[in-house]
Amino acid sequence: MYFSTFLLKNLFRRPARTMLTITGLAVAVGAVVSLVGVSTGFKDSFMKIYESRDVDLVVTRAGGTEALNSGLPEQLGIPISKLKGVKEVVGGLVDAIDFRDNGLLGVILNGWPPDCPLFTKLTVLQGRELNAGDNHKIIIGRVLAANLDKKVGDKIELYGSEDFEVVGIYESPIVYENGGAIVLLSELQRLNNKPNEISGFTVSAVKPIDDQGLEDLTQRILNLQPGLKVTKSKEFVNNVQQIKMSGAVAWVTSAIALIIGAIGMLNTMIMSVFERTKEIGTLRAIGWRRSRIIQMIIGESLLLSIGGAVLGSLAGIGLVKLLTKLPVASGIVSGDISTHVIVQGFIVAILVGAAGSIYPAIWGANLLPTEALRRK
Amino acid sequence: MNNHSHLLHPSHNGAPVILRVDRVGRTYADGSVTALNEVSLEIRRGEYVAIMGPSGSGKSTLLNLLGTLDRPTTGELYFEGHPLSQLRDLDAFRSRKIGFVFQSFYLLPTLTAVENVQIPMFETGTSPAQRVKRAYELLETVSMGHRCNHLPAQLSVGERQRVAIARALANDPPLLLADEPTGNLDSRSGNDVLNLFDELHTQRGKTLIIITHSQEVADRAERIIWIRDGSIVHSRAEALKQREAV
Repeated sequence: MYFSTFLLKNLFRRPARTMLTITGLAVAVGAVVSLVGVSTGFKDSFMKIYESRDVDLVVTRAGGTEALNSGLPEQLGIPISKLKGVKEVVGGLVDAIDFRDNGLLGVILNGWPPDCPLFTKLTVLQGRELNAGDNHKIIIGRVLAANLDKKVGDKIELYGSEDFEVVGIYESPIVYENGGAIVLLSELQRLNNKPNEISGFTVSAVKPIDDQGLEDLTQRILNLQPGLKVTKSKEFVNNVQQIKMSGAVAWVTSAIALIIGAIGMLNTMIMSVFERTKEIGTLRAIGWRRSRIIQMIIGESLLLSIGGAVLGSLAGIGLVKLLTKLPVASGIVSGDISTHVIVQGFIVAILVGAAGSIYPAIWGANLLPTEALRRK
Repeated sequence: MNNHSHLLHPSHNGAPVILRVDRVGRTYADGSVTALNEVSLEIRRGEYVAIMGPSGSGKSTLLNLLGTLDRPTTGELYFEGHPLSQLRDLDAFRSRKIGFVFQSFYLLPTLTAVENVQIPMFETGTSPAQRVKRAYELLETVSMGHRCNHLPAQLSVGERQRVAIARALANDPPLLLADEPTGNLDSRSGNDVLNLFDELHTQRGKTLIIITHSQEVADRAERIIWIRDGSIVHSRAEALKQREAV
């Protein structure tokens, strides 16, 4: 008989309690995997936008607390594009709009100039792209079209006042964009009353370029005019308030679930040790060291943790897959959970298992055999 | 084996002392309760000794001290000449040198007989395959070869005690300590267990120390140590003599 067999037999002598503990822990791990997975997917999706478009730097207004909404003059794109080492500059305006009748909040609406190279990254599924002069025209992502039940030729009301005709439905390699829509930059500036203003520029550098080269380019952009902020694309994504907020909410919610999971584990292990006082006394009497008693109790707890982690990860992945089917979340939730989020789920499960078993393990190990054998 | 005396059985003259108890005392509750008072005795290798006494006399305390489950307040115990107070790892000592047999068996309920017997071997670095092989051999020794894969709940009380004895023999300890080993058994099962002890003593040369209330059980031993109020008082023979004198 292996030691692990012994531990498993101990766990399965109380199958109902073992399954309940595993389920409690699975809920905690499922929360981590799904919430953190969605949050991380949100960030990764954002990051993919910049990576797929070969974006190295993002230029915004300095001191803006809201990275997506701080404005810059559109004309600034010309001097930036003329700087040494710059391959391409794309300016755009971004806003988040709601379609409350359809239960959709925070749908991303992009304003792009008609010659924007980003249009080439989209696959038009129905209709066409936006062209110059396409006023009151809009193209919408595949997911948004499904959520709003719109097709080419239908009208969409923006800002509760103006109807825009859907001229195309597109598919983007980025799930986040499939839940959004695009109008011409001039139209979005007009709708927002921000003439000649954009949210920021994305800058692609001439390759190859090293870190020092990017630093030098950053400095050249900053020298153009005061009040600019130039951020490497990865740092920019990490600092977007919505992304930071979603990450924080995911971890706080997960932490609550984890605390509940840890208390469940502590309860299970304490009960298990109290019930087996005489057995522990016997094991100590026949020569088991304290350390082996600790190994036994922590080992049982870790097996429960692994069970909870496996079940929780599967539940978390299933939940996220389900979310992608819901209109309210499908435009922003990527169905893929990255491996490192599942690894995080396993790590927290094991930490919860360890935290819940340390006290019972020490208590059990410190039982005097004579005392333990005398107990009723 | 009916020479009941506190003196050494003649067959063990010259055998080395396995256990020496030198003026051992044990007090509880900050010294206000004396469970054992200046007890001294020697047990030689291969001896079969019964410890008798009324409830509360201190015989269980003595057994706990002999088995290193407890430490004396005063005095010293020597195992094969080595003072036990100097031993740093009493757990390792117990697992290799002492086999315990309890009145209530204390088998682990979720493990089969053959798995229960393997439990002490986790501490001696025995490989899993060796553990299984040895456990089957030991169960054969105690005539439980046909019940190896049964859980304790599926065994009679006599069979459970046989499995517990096999477990006590797992690491081949020279000394077996039994606390009322027939206390929970019917007379037939009890007799079987005592026959098994006789075999272990005569054929395997095990040193046996048994605590019992039963004169019939004690009569199987070569020597009876009487204990009362925490002190060794006399042998039954001496007691009988005293009674005759009275």
